[in-house]
Amino acid sequence: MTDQGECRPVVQTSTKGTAGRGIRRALIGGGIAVAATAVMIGITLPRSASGDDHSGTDGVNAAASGTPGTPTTAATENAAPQGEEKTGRGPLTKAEVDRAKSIALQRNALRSAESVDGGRGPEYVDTDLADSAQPQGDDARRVEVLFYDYGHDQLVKKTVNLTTGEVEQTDTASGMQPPPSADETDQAAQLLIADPLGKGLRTDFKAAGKGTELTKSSQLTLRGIAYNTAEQSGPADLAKCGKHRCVRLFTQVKGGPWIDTTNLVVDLSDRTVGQIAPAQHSH
Amino acid sequence: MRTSTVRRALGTATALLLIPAFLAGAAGSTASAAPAATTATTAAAADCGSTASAVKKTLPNGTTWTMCWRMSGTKGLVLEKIAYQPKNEPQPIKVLASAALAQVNVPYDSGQTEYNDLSDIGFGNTAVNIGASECPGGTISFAYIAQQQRNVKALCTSVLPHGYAYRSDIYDNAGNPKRYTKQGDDLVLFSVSQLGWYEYITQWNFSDDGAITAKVGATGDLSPDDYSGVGTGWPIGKGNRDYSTAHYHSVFWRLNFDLDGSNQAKVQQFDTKKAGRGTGSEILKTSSTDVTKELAGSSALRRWWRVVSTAGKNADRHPRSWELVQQHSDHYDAHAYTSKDVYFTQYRACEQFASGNSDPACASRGTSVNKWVNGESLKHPVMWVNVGFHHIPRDEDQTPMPVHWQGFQLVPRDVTAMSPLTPDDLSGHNGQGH
Repeated sequence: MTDQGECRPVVQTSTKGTAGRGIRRALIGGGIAVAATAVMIGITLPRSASGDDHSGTDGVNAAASGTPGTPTTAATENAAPQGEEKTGRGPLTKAEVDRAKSIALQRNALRSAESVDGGRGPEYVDTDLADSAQPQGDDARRVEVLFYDYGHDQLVKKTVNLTTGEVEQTDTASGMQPPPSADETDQAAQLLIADPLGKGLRTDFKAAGKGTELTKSSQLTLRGIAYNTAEQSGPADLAKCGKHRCVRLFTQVKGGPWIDTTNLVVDLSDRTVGQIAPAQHSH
Repeated sequence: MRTSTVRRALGTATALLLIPAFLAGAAGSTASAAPAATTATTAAAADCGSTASAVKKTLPNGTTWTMCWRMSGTKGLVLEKIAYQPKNEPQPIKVLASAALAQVNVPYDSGQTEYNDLSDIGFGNTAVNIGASECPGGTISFAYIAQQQRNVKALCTSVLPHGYAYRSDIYDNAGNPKRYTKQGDDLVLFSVSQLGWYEYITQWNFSDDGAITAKVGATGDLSPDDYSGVGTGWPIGKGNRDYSTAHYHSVFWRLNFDLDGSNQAKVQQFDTKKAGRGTGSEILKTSSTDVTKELAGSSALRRWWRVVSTAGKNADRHPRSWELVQQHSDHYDAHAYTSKDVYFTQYRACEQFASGNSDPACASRGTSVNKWVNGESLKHPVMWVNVGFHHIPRDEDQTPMPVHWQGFQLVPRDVTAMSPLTPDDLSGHNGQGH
């Protein structure tokens, strides 16, 4: 068994080391800081500066930490598969995801459904390869495409056979809430920015951005979190989350600090914002 | 600190397991059949459809592992068609149809918040690029991540040494003292997911002795806004300040077996109990119970489970099996589904997540694994492993937090008649003392 630590360079670059000390100070300060609805924590993570591709600093790391005879960088890279596969278990390609979505919605399927912004047709959520041991027992490449119908608060799964180009099955259920899509996440952030409970977020963004007002979600780096009180504890006034599609957010100023908004829940089904607990801090 | 204890325990697991495995092979029955010294045919890569998704690696000691990999938006790294071919086996031995994470539940001790990192956010959705220095000597593979609408450097595949395979000062066949010793290696696959300030490493090690180690590492940063008080947190600032909130990580894995090419497998539970004083020591008796119906299992002293092939035997005519080895786990007793250490359920394609299962085809069955255990006969078992880690932060966990690991192992039990790493000189010793 090999500890993951062996896979990492032993010596950190001076750049990263400096950043690390900066975070430590900020984190400690952060705990004592502002008691707003959303509390700004002045963490500037290394990835904020370099984007999420660390390859720029990796070269420096590798050079600094190299032990003779020990490889310090990856030897090779494999490109992602392209185009379409008719069979097999390889990763889905962009072409396959696009085709699966299009097959799932052909012949005006789900036209009575409603999208997250109230538009006609369902909200696309996710595409994944179906489980390998389908009862069909053949080697067709099957894909499951998930949609959410905001008009009826239902999750819809279309099982698409990419080998034949047919929709083989449609399953529908309420109360099931997979991770939100990028579009749903964006919509949740827009609602939060415009809501009275978004005041703390707006205040903290302005402070982090040296006066720039937060007006649109594109000013933030976002990650959506489905929130389903049938699956976890939650306050009574959020009990409808689960039957409704609700989303929390990891929120970061683009290229800047985190702003913790995880106490706030955006109900995308009725377009309201609530909170898990009144903001409180022990300091 | 608990964190470092867990890490050490996991770090040495392969080495510890090798010792009993080797002894058991040497001191077994007196079956005459030594492993046939056939020349292994070249292992074919698993049929994954796309060559980019096939992983095939022969480790320095001659063991070949083959599998297919892909990224799921929710589950993250998914491994399929996993097969093991020790150097003297003529064919790959099929082990798993699929293996993937099934939940990461993170409730905070303050009672203020909880996350289901897998089912609510997704480990593929949050997969990040692995840099070249993070994958020394290995191969980095891209995958298309639908939610990010881009190709991500999602997988590192490499071969890493794990220290001793074995060491023994004995005598060779001519009666001369000889030291037999080897170093072992693992095929290592991992991906990295960034969920807000937390970062997770999803890793699988496939060892040359057949052991499979699944583990999840958490790093990144402690939650920057979860501060608490005495009893629910730990002061990480100066003096009695900044009580970083303690929290749980309950990690579930879902394993769908394909032992020797069949999904029909048996599950057995073993318990060893005291049975009176012998003349030199306590007598311990081990008994097995066939798990014929779905099971929600709790760990206990000297209890373990194995999944037994119905389709393949080793050269000793023992049915091949894979044993679940769980290191210390603190299960989270505030949810029903995290209260057990392992579940065995009858296979259903729509049961994929240990909680928050979101396949409409399974809606009438409930959304968590504890609800699926309802007395059904177990013919095609799916194993759900739960490993809980209660993380009480410490000063050292500040930024970046040193990786803390949790995981389990699947270890071959009677898959081959002796260890596949047995030196040729000693391969005739099957079932005999030295």
